[in-house]
Amino acid sequence: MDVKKIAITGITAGLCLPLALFAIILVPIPGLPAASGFWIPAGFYFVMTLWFGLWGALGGHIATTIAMGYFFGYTLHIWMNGGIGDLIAPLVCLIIFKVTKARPDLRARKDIAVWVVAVVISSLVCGLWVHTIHLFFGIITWPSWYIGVLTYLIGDTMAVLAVGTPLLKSLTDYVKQSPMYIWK
Amino acid sequence: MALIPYTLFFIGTFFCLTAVTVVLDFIQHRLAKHHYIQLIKENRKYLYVYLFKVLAEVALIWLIVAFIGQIWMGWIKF
Repeated sequence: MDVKKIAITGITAGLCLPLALFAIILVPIPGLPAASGFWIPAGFYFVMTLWFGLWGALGGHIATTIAMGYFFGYTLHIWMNGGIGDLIAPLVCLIIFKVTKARPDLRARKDIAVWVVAVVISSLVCGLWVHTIHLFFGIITWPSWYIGVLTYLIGDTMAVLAVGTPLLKSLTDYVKQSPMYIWK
Repeated sequence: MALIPYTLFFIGTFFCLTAVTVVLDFIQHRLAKHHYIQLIKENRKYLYVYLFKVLAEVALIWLIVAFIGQIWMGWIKF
């Protein structure tokens, strides 16, 4: 196992954990699990995943899983479900970037367009995953399902675009010099 | 009775100083950008130190934004 990759996961988790614990704002429906209003840590682990691949996504997964355990006293499968959702979302974004051959430095118009579309699709996939699992386990009822998916989609999309865009535009040129950058 | 609760005043001062420190750090980096690029070429470790320091600073700024947002939402009361 490569120590550097584990370090990337650890640093991503370390950065995202305080944000996942405390940086939650604009929650539209208090009490509805994972009805994220503005999930700030997502901006960080999306960016780390686009730079460093799976290891960045794993960091986000760990941070979300631990933080959801602290918040609201949610049960274990809600932690795990939220954590898996936040592992899937940045990976979906990464796959879209790979398929479209876009670059995370967002220099070209195509890159920016792919970034916006990929964030929307990733947030939708993650919202569908999290709330459908909640529905199957009887944690939420049917009317809450589409409200949860919609708030997840809007909230995560806003947060990832607001937090992630300046990070990708300003720091990717530095990250390119790292041997761990996955776009060489 | 104080106009601003002591706890809010203390935290507010801490946040202001934190924000000023972060802004000064960004300005310092912009002014000496070429020097830092040279430093990164000479020692790769500096790249990671710089990268994760900036990410941590951005996280600090967002925590301050979230703090204000949570006061606005009524989660934090003084």
